[in-house]
Amino acid sequence: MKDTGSQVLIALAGNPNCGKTTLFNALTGSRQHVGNYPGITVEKKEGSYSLNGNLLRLVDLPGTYSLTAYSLEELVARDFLVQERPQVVIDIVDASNLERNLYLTVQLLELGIPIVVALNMMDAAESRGIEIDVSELSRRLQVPVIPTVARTGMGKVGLMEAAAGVATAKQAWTPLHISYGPDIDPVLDRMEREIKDAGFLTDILPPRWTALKYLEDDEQVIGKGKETDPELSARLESMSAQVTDHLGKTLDTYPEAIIADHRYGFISALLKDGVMRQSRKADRLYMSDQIDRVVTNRFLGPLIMLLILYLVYQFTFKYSEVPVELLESGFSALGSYAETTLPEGPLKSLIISGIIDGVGGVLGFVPLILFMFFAIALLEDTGYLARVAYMLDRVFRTFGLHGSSVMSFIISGGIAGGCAVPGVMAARTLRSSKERLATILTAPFMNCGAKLPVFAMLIAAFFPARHAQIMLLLTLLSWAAALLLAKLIRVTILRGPSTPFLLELPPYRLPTFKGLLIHTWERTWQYIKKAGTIILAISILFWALMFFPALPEEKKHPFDAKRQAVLAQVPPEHLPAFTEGTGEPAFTGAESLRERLADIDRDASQAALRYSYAGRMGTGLEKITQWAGFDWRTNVALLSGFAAKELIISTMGTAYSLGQTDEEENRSLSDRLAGDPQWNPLKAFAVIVFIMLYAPCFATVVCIIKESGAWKWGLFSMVFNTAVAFFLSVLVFQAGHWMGLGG
Amino acid sequence: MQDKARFKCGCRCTSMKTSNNGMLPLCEAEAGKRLKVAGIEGGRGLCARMAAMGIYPGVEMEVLCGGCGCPCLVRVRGGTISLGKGVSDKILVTSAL
Repeated sequence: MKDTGSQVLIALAGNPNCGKTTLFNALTGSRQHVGNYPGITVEKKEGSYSLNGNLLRLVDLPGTYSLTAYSLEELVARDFLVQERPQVVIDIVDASNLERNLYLTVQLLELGIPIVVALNMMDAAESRGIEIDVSELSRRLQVPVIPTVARTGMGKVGLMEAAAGVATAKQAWTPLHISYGPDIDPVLDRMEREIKDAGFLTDILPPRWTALKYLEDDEQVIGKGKETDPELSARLESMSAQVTDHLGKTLDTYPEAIIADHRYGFISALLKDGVMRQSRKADRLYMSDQIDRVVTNRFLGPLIMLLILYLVYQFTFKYSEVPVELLESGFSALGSYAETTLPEGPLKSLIISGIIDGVGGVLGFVPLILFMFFAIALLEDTGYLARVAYMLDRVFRTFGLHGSSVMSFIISGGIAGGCAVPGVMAARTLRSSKERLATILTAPFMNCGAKLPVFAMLIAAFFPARHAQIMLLLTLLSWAAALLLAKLIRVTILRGPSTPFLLELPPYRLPTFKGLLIHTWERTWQYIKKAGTIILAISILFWALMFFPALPEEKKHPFDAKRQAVLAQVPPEHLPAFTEGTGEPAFTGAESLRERLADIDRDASQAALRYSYAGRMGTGLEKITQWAGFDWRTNVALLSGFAAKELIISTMGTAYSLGQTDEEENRSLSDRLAGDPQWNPLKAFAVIVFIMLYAPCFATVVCIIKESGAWKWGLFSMVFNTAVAFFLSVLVFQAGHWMGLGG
Repeated sequence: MQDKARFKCGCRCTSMKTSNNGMLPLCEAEAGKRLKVAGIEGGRGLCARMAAMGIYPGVEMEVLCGGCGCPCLVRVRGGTISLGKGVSDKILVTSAL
């Protein structure tokens, strides 16, 4: 019965920070990320809502202030409304900030598309002493107005019923006419008449609306007009230019200002006579400002910001310690169990080295990531992140970026633990393509959630007493690298001016615990899913690369000969006990013989690993990487990191458990590295620097290609980042060596 | 009292600029003052974007933070908007009475 053709399509439109995404989630129950800063919903998000057995299709449009194409979001939102022509638009307005939010409503009404107004954040409005006469507002707007509280889901059923009602009424688009005063109205009328007579774009746009867009100098509409009817378009443009010129000369203003002024005038008329009343209980409104005075203070602000970042680390590492250890020992126990029960052979190696170590290495860090994401969700949902963007704009401008680049950086892992894939996508909010590209190319330098476990493991092994401090240092380092390299890119291959910074700061809000948990869980679950599928598969692939081809007989032979030579020194009566390892062989020198045997075994397995495909690649690279202090095992692990950064740790785990044949306890990787004579804090730090900066994972590279629209940028990021990373890690290693560090 | 507001914002001016007809760029305005937008210089696109966010000639705003050539924070029509220096030096303001 329900074919998709007759399915009701509903779009959600609204200003940034009006609670649109929260409402969308409340309606569809879809698990998506809700941020508090503008632009997070720049992608088109779809969901469905079931009303009395009918499925309604919902599309969450990007948050916009207007319907004129001044930004990518506005373009996306408008295109959707005009092209897809949803039966009804749910216009979400923030009741506590009604005047400004109705600006978009007015434009929707001017477009004529059927709308239902969701008067959201009624609770916030009430607490600020704002009273709204809902039925009178609805009467004046001539559209249904439904009070809602997206955070609690209040009013959502009523809202959807109203929306479905409007949708089924199948009204034709009826544009609202607003008077724009004596300077605009006459020319607007003339333009409207010409457009109507010529049938110019009237198939999709109301004539008066098109005329307005010409006056507002809307590049996209004018461009489309030029294609459709160049002659008429030129005439309209010249009419618009005349008005603009006249206004500039007589009133020192421009059409947009007059249009905006009249729209706001229309809105204040709407809200007059008690439709909106504010009792002077407005203290709460200004609480946000009071907080901002301190938090964004020129001197205190940055200090508070650093302190908050530091607390994020403290929180993450302190509270995740116990569960991380528990999981680690759990996987260790599983490994030991497999070690004793499974028969010798490739399968045993696959299960222990490929699967248990691989998955354990990744899942062992889930608690850490969980706590980190919780902290980030808290910062986002309270509104603090937007302040960070504001405070950092000056800094970012210096480096040829934009204050909004900070969102990309933070999502990518600027507060360690993000992911470069959504980070690269978040750069869509940037207007200037050069700043955007520079952000896209440098965001992967941030410490994403996948690099974090590697850092945590190396820190645990070599800097155990300074967990949080080192993590903070690493964060600052990655920021410094990203900013400096962005500057480098902006003065060389991407030269050009900066775009202005203009960002609304949402009022501070107390996040809901449920919301925080949903955000935290979503991101953590994504990580686990990734760990469970791609990472396991690639972990196995890399195990195979390291296990095959096996050492040929002629190469195994010298080791066997050496073993025989050692065994020949064992007195014959003790030989069975010695080889089986049962009971203590009671003869002098048994211990040293055993050690020699173990040495031979180690050499043999090392030779086998070197002989494998991965070992060959790693060994081949050793000639170059020795400058940074990397041996072939590190090289192998870093190679696997090209596939996904999470794999570095599991590959290293595989590499080290394969390389050790003596029956020691199945200790965790960080203990193994700490005990390895080839490793020292200096080498560990050089490795950390390399991992921080080198080529992004394949998923990110694909994203970079998609977002920049060119293969060359994906390739560029792989080559450039690896070159930079290698240069810096060599610098660290050689300088450290020269200073006598690392032994 | 204005001194206090300025101090709270952490900004100290070395010299206050004022132009002859009482207009000055927003980026030079003191924090804590109520101001009226007198005009906006700059491209039409930027002006229109600002208008959509509630900043256009004639509108009143309060400077929460800023001044002296720094990025600033203004409260306008119930929203808090942050402006980079490149934007705030294009907004001309007069003090609102």
